[in-house]
Amino acid sequence: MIEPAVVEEKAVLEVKELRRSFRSVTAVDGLSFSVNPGEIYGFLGVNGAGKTTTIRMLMGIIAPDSGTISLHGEISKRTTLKQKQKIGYVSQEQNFYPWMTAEMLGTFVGGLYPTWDSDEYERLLKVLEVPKNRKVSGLSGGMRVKLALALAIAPRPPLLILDEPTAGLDPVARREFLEIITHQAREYGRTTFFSTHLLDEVERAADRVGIIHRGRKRFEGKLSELRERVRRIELLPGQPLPIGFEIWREFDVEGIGEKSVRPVIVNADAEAWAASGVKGERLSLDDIFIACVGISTTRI
Amino acid sequence: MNRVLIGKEMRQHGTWFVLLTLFSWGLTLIVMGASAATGTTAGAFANAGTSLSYFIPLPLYVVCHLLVAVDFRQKAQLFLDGLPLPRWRAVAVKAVIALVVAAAMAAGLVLMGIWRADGSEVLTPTFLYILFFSAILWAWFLTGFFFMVSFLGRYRLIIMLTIGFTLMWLAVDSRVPLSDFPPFALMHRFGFEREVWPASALAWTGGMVALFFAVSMILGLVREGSVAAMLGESMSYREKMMIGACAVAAFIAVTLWDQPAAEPFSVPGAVEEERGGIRVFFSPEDLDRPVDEDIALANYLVNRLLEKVTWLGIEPEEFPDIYVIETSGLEEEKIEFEEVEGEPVTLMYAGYREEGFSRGQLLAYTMSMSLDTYSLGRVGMEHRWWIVCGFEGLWELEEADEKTIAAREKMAYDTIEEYGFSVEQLLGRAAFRDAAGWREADSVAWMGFRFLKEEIGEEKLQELGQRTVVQKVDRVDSRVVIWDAMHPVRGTFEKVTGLTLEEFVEGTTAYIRKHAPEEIEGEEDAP
Repeated sequence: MIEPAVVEEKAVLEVKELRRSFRSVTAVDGLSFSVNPGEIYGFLGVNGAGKTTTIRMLMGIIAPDSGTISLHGEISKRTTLKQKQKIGYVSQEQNFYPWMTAEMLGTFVGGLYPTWDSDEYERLLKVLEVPKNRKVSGLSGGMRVKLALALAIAPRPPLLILDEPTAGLDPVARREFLEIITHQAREYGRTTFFSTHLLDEVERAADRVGIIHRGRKRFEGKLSELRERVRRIELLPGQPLPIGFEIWREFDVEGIGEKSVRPVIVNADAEAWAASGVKGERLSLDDIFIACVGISTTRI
Repeated sequence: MNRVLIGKEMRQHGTWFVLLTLFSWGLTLIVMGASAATGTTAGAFANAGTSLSYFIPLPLYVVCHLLVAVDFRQKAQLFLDGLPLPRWRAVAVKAVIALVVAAAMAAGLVLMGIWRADGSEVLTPTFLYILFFSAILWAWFLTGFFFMVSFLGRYRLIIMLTIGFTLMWLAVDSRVPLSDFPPFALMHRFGFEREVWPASALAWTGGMVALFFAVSMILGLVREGSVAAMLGESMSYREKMMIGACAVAAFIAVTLWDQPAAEPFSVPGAVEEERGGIRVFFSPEDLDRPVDEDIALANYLVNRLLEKVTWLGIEPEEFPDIYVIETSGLEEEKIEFEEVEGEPVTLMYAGYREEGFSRGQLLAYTMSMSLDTYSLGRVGMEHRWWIVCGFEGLWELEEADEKTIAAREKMAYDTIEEYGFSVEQLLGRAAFRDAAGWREADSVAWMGFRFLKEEIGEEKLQELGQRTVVQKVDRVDSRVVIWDAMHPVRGTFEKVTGLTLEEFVEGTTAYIRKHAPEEIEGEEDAP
């Protein structure tokens, strides 16, 4: 293991060239991204993109094959126990001890965090309307997620990592959950990293997004920037792709002969768009996401 | 962190731990009470040993199952993985809790034995140390094994049944001396071993315990716990059917192969002699042959047995019945014996029409085997066995000719010259016999008792026999003492004979040398 060392960047979480394979399957392939203090970072990807594997590496549950993780300025190959004590974590499935009540869980989990705030936990249970004396086995799925969130927030961690926390929740519970984490980030400046495959969640809560596909990063930045960069254009027969444009998705040729056009979704920065003189058609976030994880990656 | 983990385990399983411990103790109390009431016990510690062997494995299995298998089944490991909690620590805390519960169970059984044994057993510090160490290490062995097996998830039951049945078969039906190997050696003479530390068995058992927990750690930690998590899944329908079919097939195969043994007491045409409560049966090999010789031998044996039994102060009616089955082709001594499971009888095989057979030997062997049976196997397991061997020699050679006696005297002399003779060897039970040979060791014991008889007289010798061989121990000897000076053999021996064991050993050595063949004495005197 590489000894933790202080780095100059101010990012709360920074990942560099992270790789992890399971036998012949490469789940995460050279992934790099950074999360800034106080921001909500949406980690977006389709099912099987490598989101959970990445988060499990961030939490030190599995070790990366290569690459480094920097948490709060400390670089390590695998997340250490001390680093984990500064992270609040909500996993995809809530596998609490079914015989424990919320109160017992608080006592158990609280004993593992030096910064545990019992009053805050009590308050969160009250606010989130989680009955503290009911066994976990008697709680609904939504209640369990809220409980997990309370357990993650009560140690007052500077960083929250949430792995598809809203999966399986109904729309009302999902909305409620997102409001809580947004409130936490805005009110307490708590950095939040959450994975999801739901665009509306990202749109509603995230300051920045990272899009991952087949273990590789496809985009990192603000959603507004993504919307600016990715547009639909139509290319005439023989027309070259403007300089600095990257095709993300190609469609079938429309029309015949000289009047035919080839619609494509392209990604280009503001300078390239300005230089090309092409306006392009603005797209919905759904279309952008599908294009992002879709077809061509050819760069001209 | 440890406090949190211990608190969690105790809150989750604490009630079960207490109930299981009380269960094992309760069963032991019942067995102790019942066997004391029916007079079928070889001592309170024998009961404790039985409990350790049969009553604590199941509770300890449940303890380990609760600590390990239940957690994996509930997939709680996935929850724990997200917490700042090293996985090794969680496993280690579970292991320590299991060991503490096991130690408490085992120590409780020994304490019950101490409570029940007050007044009938000598409780020296060494004896108590041996009891506690053996019991706790044995319990830890079981715990380590069950703890490791609990990590094998769905396959644990089938693995345990396979190992259990194999061990039972090895112990009961095979010729493998399973009880000589650790950890079973710890239980074999549990409650009987008072002097000699079972150091090798303790060390080996400790090593096995360490190995089991090391394997458990590996299973719990390897590949981020994926092996343990995978094994934690329940068996599929196909697996259950397959294993069920294999079990049935194995059971049928064993049943067909392992035919029940023949009835041991089918002695048709046996000659029966009874005198004063002693009963002897002689079964000739050839039923068509006249039985005059058998009757004469039976008469001899029953008369001599009655004489010896009365001399030792035993009620003849309580003495085991003797079955002697004529068997030709036996080696050397022409006499063999066999233990009869669950029956208080002495079963001897003897080629009593063959050359080399000795009536004195038959009498002596029958007496010592019967004394062991009479004491429910206790005398043979304890350190006073050497006293039986001493008497055995006297009884065997009472009517022997000079040549036989001279040969035996030479054997005793050669033995002490080669192997020496000390108090440690005297009390080391089988150690001297194993080193020198049983016949050689017995010859030394015989010479010792010849010396003793001359030194203290017939009357004192008789008292010694009555107070050591026939399960009578002074109450004063049975109290817990703070040094090792008191001993059921040492204390009673010194009190009755007026000799310390050191003086006895010294006297015996001198006596053997004095009776050495003349040419050897001459050699010794030569410069």
